[in-house]
Amino acid sequence: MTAQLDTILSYVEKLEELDTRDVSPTTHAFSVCNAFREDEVHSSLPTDEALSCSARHNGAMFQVPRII
Amino acid sequence: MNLYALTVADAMEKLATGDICSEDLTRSCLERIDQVEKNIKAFITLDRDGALEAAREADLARKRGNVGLLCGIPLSLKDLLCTRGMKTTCGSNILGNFIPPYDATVVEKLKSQGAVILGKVAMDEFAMGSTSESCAFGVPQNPWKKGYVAGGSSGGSAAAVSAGECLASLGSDTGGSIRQPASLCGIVGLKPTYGRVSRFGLVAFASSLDQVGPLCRDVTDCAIMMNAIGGYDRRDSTSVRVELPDFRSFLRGEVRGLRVGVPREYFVAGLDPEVERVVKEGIDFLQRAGAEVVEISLPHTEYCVAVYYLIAPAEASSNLARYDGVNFGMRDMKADTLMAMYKDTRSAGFGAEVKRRILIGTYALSSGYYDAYYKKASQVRTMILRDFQEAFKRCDVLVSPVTPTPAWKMGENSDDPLAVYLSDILTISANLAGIPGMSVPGGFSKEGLPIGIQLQGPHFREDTLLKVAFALEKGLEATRLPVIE
Repeated sequence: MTAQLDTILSYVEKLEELDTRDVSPTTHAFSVCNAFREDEVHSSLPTDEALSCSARHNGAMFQVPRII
Repeated sequence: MNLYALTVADAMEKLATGDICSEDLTRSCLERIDQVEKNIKAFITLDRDGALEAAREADLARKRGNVGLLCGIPLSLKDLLCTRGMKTTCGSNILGNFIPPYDATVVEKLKSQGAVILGKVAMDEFAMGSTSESCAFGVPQNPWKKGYVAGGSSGGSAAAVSAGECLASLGSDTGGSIRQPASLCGIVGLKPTYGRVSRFGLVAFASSLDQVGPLCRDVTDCAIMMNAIGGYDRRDSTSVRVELPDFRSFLRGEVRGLRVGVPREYFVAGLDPEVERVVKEGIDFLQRAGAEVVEISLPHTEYCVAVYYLIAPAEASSNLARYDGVNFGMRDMKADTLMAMYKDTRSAGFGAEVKRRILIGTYALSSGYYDAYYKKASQVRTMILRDFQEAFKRCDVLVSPVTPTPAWKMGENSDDPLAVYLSDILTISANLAGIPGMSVPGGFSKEGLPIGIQLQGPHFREDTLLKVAFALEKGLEATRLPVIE
């Protein structure tokens, strides 16, 4: 995989050919400015459904190996 | 006639007149699946009972006069659209047993219109690929030729629609993943304008590039599917509040006076002569039909692959950070520390291509390299976007090839990722610029493999694409179903 990553990274260096000094970056091609919506309360997922996809939980919380 | 071979439009008509019922139509698709699936391998999850039940419900609803737009139409979904209660794997072991507790907005829309969901179809893992060969649950095959790729990443959708296993399918397109498999399998695929269709419930790959769209047997079906899935969604803040037209109203086939742009940079070395011939024939047809052909230059086309393979992995590396084994998806249960759990889960759960892209993406975003890679790519993205803005001052639609070659043999280029990336050169720019793109069947190679023609238009001008696609479909008569070996 190291060799493949090297090939890909040397290929993308092609971008150095272009002078981009005064070009602003694009993060979204079609920018939506101030995407506001009404501040309405909608129901969210019930706890049991949210937990249902987890490999380990105790019915109220997700459980992970001990951290401290 | 075999019901599974009907278009959505024809099936809707026959259902409306009572000639057929959805249960028979759905059974016909299921029988077709039984007959061809061992070779096609399009489905990851097939919900036989659920589909038949939905079909019977649709038939009952129709009797009561409650007829949704897609009432009783059997469809398949790319396995990255969340389906409540139905496994959604994204073609990855890490989501191998993931059953979403909610529907994607587009799935909700299809269901509320009465559609019958047959199941979920194969794709490259996390939509990262151009052949669907990185799918962890079987690789779909091109229905036109044994041992050939169906394309990707929506390869399962394209194969299933082309093989008659469903009437239409939804896929997603981040760098060509709807248009390319549609072209390789001889069907119609549309990537809508970024923001036209909600991404809520679409498992994210590269959020600024992803868009959901239909793969269909013909252009009319594509318009029908767009009517069903388009529109603003409060749950996707990047979806755009623009008026949703009746996409079927554009299917008139009149192209007189339309300015058809031919981008010079899309006809360069490496383009298969047969692909070039088919696309040129399409352009000649449009000219004879009264369109004005204009030569266009998109000077930064040669940089799009480099831009894409920095931006898409950068966004992916961030999006895929959520697969840590905690809230959902696979977890390595042997690990006794949190860090080991993250590491072991991700090492075991992700395939090689996904790992490659996460590594490139985190590298491109890392401090010290951000300016040279991610920022530079975002600036060149602006230059690519400007190329299109200039082009669309001089033409209404761009006509070009979709892929440099027809479908290729499975296993080719499997240890040369860059070679596969370069095959995306003709489709990637539309995602970087957020414009709509479409693939419509144009003809066949001597070997009998389908070749598509790509149409690209300005933001929110799917109307022009559908109009031109409809004219090409009628004029070139290259739209047909394969005979499966």
